[in-house]
Amino acid sequence: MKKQKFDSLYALLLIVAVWYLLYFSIDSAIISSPTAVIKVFAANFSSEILPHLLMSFYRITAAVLVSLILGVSIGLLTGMHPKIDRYLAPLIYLLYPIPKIAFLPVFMLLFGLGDLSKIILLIVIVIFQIIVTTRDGVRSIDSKYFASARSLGMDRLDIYQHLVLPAVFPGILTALRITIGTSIAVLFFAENFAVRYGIGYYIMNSWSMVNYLKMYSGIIAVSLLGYFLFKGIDLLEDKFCSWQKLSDKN
Amino acid sequence: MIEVKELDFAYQKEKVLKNINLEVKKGESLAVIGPSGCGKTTLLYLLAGLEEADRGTIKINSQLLTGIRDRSGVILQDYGLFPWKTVYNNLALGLKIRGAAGQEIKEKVNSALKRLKISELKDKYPAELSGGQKQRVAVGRSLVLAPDLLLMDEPFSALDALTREEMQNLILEIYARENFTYVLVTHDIAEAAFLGRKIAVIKEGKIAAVLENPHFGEKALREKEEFFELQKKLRNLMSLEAEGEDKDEKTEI
Repeated sequence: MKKQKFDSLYALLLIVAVWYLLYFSIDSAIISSPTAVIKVFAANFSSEILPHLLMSFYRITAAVLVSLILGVSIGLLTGMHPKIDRYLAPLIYLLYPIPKIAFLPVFMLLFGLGDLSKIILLIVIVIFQIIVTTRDGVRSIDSKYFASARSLGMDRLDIYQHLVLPAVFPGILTALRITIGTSIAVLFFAENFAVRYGIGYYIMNSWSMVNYLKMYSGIIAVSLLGYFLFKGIDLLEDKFCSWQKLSDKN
Repeated sequence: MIEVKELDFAYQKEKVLKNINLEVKKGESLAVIGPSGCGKTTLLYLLAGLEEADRGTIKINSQLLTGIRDRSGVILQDYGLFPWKTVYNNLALGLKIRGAAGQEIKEKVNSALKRLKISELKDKYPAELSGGQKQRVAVGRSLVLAPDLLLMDEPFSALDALTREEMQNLILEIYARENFTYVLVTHDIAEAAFLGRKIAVIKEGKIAAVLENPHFGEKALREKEEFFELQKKLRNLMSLEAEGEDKDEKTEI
């Protein structure tokens, strides 16, 4: 644990050092002083930044949860039933590469200007990664485990609960890590349309008002949001997937 | 206990087992030996209810086998332990599935851990165990279900010679103490001679011979002349058949 804390501290110091380097080497207002930004960040965090951050956190969490429930279900279904996969795989392959972000205006028209359209945009981007990872995870389960499960008398539901889900869970967490990076980037874009709250809005609004100190404060907040989401996934991994880190003795 | 009649099984049109007839009495132990690909594992899977025969019947305790039996314990090659469950939870799994109560699970699992001398491993994951320890867990996972029939598919093939003998002794110990019938599939001649009261030799999907092993279970059997004689006999039988003799012989046990 101590070592991990040190790792985070090292990363923080390195980023601040590079930032200072840029600040001193580029003589422009667009690169603000880290000290000044941190002061503004601290002064405005609870009053200004936090409400925006919480709104973004809500949108990401809602989108990720829905994507997880739907994506894992579809992934399990297609992984366990090749027949279903035969019909669904072409659909997934055709829809996965589409630049979904271009559909934001369509979603806003269909689902309103509020949160729903943004959450749906995030879902359609995140869900494919989860579907594909889950499906491939199911397929890569060694058949000996299925024989073992059946020999113990497991029915279909038991097999999902005790075999398939635990086996694909580490893969799902990896997919989550990747999708969280993507979701934050997409949300930053989506929050520039018809919203008054959201960290994306806060950053772009500060930028357009030429308040670089606040803009950088917002960027720090995004970074911290990502950091805590990633740490959350690490915690889940430590709790449920510690078996994975053990190297087999044989 | 086990009655197999005119059993045929094909895998993708290739006949794996042909007209198998077999009888194992209650409390008896049968070792099935044969070269790789002879169909012995398939026979065990059929007895476990993991596969369905194309023709013929299997009766266990006079009841037609139609699927997995609650009281059949199965130990598969590579142990089949779930890597995401601790030793304790691997043992508890079968009981949980059968709807046993929490207290009952705890008592049975702890008792099995104690009997197999692996109590100190109960919070470890399979990846942290040696081959012999994993094997004990696999045996334990079957034992907690109090099986009347234990089916083992090359259970000790991945172990070193000493650990293998230790595990074979353990099986005999448990067998002497608890009241069950077992069928063991192996390609190891010494193992078949040590663990089978009856030894069936399978060749190309057919039962080619059945030997009685009157010295089964005797102390220090491994050092006795008869043990080597039996192995010699088995080796001869297996190599004779490998040359293609007695091709159409149908033997019933």
